[in-house]
Amino acid sequence: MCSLISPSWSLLADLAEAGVVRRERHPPIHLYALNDLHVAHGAVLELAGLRDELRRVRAYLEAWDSDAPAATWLFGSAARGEGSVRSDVDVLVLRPETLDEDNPVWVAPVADLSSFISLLSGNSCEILELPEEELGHLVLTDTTW
Amino acid sequence: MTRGERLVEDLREDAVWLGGERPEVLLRGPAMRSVQ
Repeated sequence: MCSLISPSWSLLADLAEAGVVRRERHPPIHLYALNDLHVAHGAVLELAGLRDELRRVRAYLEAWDSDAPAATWLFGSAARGEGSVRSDVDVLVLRPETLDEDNPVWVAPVADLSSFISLLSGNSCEILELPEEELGHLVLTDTTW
Repeated sequence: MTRGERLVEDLREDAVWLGGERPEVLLRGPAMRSVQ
């Protein structure tokens, strides 16, 4: 599945018991496959496609008239599709060099973005804000690359 | 690994770009910058 939130093992067991997924035993592991004959098959595919709803976040960002972030990323567990219902959705926004961190034209839309993503995902949205030049500094000093 | 290094690695490997300046521009490393 490729939703923002990956299923927990107990959920997978519940889905297997309900017949939505088939479980095959291959000791020491179990393999799970979606049962395409199940009446819920279409609904499950719809849910699995929720990650495509990121386009709504992109549209939200595109509508940010002026003083928009220099760049925005989804990162962390949600980006890897490994988050749980308790995970934060981590978003990095790069603040343009022309704006101070406490400038209201920046602070209010960033807070709104966090609220929008929280409403969209059902998870708390944690915004990491970096000045644009700070990312450049991190990249230049990155010794792991 | 520092928090900053972890973030840069995360951005290069798993992060999903949502908008703004393209990652290939922002995440150029020292080697690529040195030849510009």
